[in-house]
Amino acid sequence: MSLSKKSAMALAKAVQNREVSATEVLTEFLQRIHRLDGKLGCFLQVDEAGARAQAHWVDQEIAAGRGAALPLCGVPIGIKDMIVTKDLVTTAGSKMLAGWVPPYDATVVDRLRRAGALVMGKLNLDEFAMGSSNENSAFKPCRNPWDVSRVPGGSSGGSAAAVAADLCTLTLGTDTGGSIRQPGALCGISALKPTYGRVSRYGAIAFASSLDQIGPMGHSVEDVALCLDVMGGHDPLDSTSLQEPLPRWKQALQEPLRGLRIGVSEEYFGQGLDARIEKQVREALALLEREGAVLVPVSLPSTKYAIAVYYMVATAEASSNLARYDGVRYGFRASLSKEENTLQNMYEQTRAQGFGPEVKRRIMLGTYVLRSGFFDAYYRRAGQVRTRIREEFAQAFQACDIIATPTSPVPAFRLGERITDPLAMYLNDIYTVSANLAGLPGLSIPCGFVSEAGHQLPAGLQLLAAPLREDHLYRVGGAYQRLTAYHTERPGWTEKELSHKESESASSLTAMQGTYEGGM
Amino acid sequence: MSISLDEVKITAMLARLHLSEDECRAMQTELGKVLTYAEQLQEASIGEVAPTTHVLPISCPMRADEVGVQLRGDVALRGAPVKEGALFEVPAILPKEQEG
Repeated sequence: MSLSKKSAMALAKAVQNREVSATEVLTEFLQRIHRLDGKLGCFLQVDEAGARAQAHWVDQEIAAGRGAALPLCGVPIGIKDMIVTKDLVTTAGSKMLAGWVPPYDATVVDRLRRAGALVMGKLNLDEFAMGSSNENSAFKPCRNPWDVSRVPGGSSGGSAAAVAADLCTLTLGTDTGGSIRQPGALCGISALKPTYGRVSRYGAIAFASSLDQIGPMGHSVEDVALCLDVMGGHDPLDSTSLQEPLPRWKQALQEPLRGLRIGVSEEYFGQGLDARIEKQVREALALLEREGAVLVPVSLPSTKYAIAVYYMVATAEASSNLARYDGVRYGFRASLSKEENTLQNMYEQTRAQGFGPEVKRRIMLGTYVLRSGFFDAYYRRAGQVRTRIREEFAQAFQACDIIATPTSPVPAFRLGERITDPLAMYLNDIYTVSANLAGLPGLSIPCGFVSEAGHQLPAGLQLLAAPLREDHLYRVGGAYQRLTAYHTERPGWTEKELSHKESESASSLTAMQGTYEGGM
Repeated sequence: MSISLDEVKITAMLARLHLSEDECRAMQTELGKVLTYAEQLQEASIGEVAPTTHVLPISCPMRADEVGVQLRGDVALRGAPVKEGALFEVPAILPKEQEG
């Protein structure tokens, strides 16, 4: 089996057992990236030198008999460019940070490196994590490997597409309103937003500090659970990180489904949901029920306010977090003529030229709702409805262990289709934002496909649990992935593209040889 | 809920964001749409419930007042767009004194 098709667990084991070296793994993945990423645009930067050095170190550790201490040894991982990497340019997908070199690693990156993972590079995203399609990247769009005329979702679009195309075995994303789960669904992979506080935010470029979480993305629940186990847990450098122990993931994955209560909230199956996605989700629920889970109706009446709450709260927090981009200490600074060179102008022009339109929109909205005349009506009120949303979930979780919903109301849409209407784009997050508002863990897993224009587009099932109950997500996700094979499917495009490239280089090699022999 | 052009300009000034006249007008339309959408929050029955600003029941964790790892000055200055010696350079903060 090609190394790129192996799970993270299987790959780490193969490297630990010296069936293959970390360097060999790296070579195969770099080849795939070189051949496929030109079209896909997943990577903003591939760190070949860094990954080689890391692979060399891993192979040395293995040779010295220390392989058992490296749970992710030789596993290629891509990092969303919203997470800082020491001495490796980190841009947040923005001109504001183009060329910026962080002086430190995010805690998660440090932990993954120490576990033997090969950091392949930085992945494309919507600028400052603001978007649901990766179209807001200041550098280039990213394409969905299931249909390259379509978006991968966002904001962790590069992270999701890179897994789907097997350019990395695992990737990290960030999720503030659905930015791990929604692209996970659109790209047919498994994607986890942990409980707020599970994973250190030290080194995660801040968007909305009460909502942001870093999370793992991969081909299976097992792989994302392994990744969370390696990178999660308390960090003294993040004052919002939890002391609570991480879930016992291996046990949770194997636990039988019988008796587990799955809450179904009709508020998540209303207007706007694509009927084909609904069908796949309902079939998934029926399957789980046949296997012994119990479906329980629950009510989450404040769901309809969730997007409004999110766009008051997240933008307010963002307006504060993005105030630091002022051209003073790092990043872009606008050039000004001598007469124009005042502090006020420096701030205003730097931010006008450095930020893209969506970022400006959100900063403006957030600044507005925090203004003294509007604070109570918008921001404070949104905070109160947020409390209601949390209370409703807490009550629902008395009656059930997980709540199952569609992840995205629609399958992957075409590039350019939704970009002109910001509000239409915001509504893509309708099923995902509540988990961030309430601090809940959420997992998206593939539950089938939707046919459109001659392509099979993935559909995602979202599982939500009470805070700290990732074990329930693993139990259901694990069972579902033993019963179905959707998560093992790969887009046809990647293999076609690879064999096309191979025959291209083979024929050009022949042509070159012919010329040489003939010429000399 | 519409937002006036003046409100857009004041907000832009507060956000330290320069917007052209066209951008102000576009912003007026776009923000107006989102604010109108957010009006539905007025219908929500919330009683006297306290707003959530944080989902975790934690207070600020403390640590011992000991010197730890520090960011070296030269490293901190590495990303500076304009610097002079060990300082970040910016346009004058205080206006020059008027002469004569």
